[in-house]
Amino acid sequence: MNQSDDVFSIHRRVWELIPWVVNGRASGEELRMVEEHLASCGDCREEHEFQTRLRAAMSAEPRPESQADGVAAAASLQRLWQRIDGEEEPALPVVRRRASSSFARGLLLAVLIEAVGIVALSAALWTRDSPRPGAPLYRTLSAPAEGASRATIRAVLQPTLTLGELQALLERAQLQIVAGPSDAGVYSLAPQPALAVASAQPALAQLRAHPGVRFAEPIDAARPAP
Amino acid sequence: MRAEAVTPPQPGTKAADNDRELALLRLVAQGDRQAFETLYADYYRRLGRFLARLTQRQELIEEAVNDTFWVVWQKGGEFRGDSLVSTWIMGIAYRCTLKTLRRAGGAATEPLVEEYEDTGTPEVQAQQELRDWVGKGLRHLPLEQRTTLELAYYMGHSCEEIGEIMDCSVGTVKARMFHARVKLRNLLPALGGMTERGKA
Ligand SMILES: [Zn+2]
Repeated sequence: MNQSDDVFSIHRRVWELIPWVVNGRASGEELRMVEEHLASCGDCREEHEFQTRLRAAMSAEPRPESQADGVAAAASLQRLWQRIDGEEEPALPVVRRRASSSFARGLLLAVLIEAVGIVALSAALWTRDSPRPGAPLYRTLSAPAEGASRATIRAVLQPTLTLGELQALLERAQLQIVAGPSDAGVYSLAPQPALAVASAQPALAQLRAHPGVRFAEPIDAARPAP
Repeated sequence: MRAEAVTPPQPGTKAADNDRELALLRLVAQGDRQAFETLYADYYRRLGRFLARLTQRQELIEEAVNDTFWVVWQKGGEFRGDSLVSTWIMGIAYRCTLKTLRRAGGAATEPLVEEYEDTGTPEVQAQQELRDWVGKGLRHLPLEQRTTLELAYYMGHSCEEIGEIMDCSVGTVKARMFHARVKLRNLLPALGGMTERGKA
């Protein structure tokens, strides 16, 4: 340390360092210098208290994190994926992207099964790929998955739809997955238990309006006319 | 009044956080969507809170968050590890925000006035009241000074990191911090001696 440092120059250096002591980012040497000076300087002590209170006020969260934050984040993320996929489609190898999204879907489904507590479905069902691009969707739609008697809606999801997006969408539409995906990637959805009497129409409209849903139809209406 | 109740420094600035974020970013560079979503989730709320000090318009905040993470997705592979991941991301966020605010015009740089839920213990309410009061003081600071304070006190960055984020010298960071402190001492004198502070 420079011998010519007088008391005033140390005071100035300490005053400058106070915010970085308060936010925990000052070095050990700086911290020692500040602590030593604070013991003998009322002005710097008061400034340290002021900055400590300021930091406490600035870092306090306005409210606890809520479900709404998660939904907002998922919706925002979904818009970002749309933008990324729209822009980069030709650039990235499709194989890698599909592999990663297939992994994500496996995880997503595992979480969802736990979340909605539906009956265990055969493991083989979950490892199957989502509908092959170009495969006709309607052909297999007449065979809903087993255990889906409560289901009011059938839907096919986009391969890019993520866990967060799907959770947010189901939450908004007040639906849960009761079975699926079938060989063709069809999910059977039902209203959440408390809402079992509600019409499927508003939920259906929400699904159809969502870019992550490739296809959604009411189960009764899908039955071929005799 | 429990103004001394200091919350610990925000995550994202320490070595352990950096190891985790670096591992995620390496995966993102390989096109790993799960890793990207984890990183996005980590930053979404914090970044939104940070940006709310720079603009009151929610749609601009979301635009800046997504612009930031669009760059993270595109350029993750170019990150060389010369700084902390959080510093790199916040630097992108700062540039994206300035661009968004410039395009939106001057009126967009008023900070968001947050609304609080009425519920909570008296202690929580007092803390929120204090936050609100300090927030009003911060509105009087120029954007650069407000950002410097926010990066230090909300995001927990060091002086050097803030220089990297805002693309300016350490001397400039210190000068901005100095002016912000002097101005806030005048705007919020009661914060220095809490006993003097009456309810306005
Ligand atoms: Zn002093």
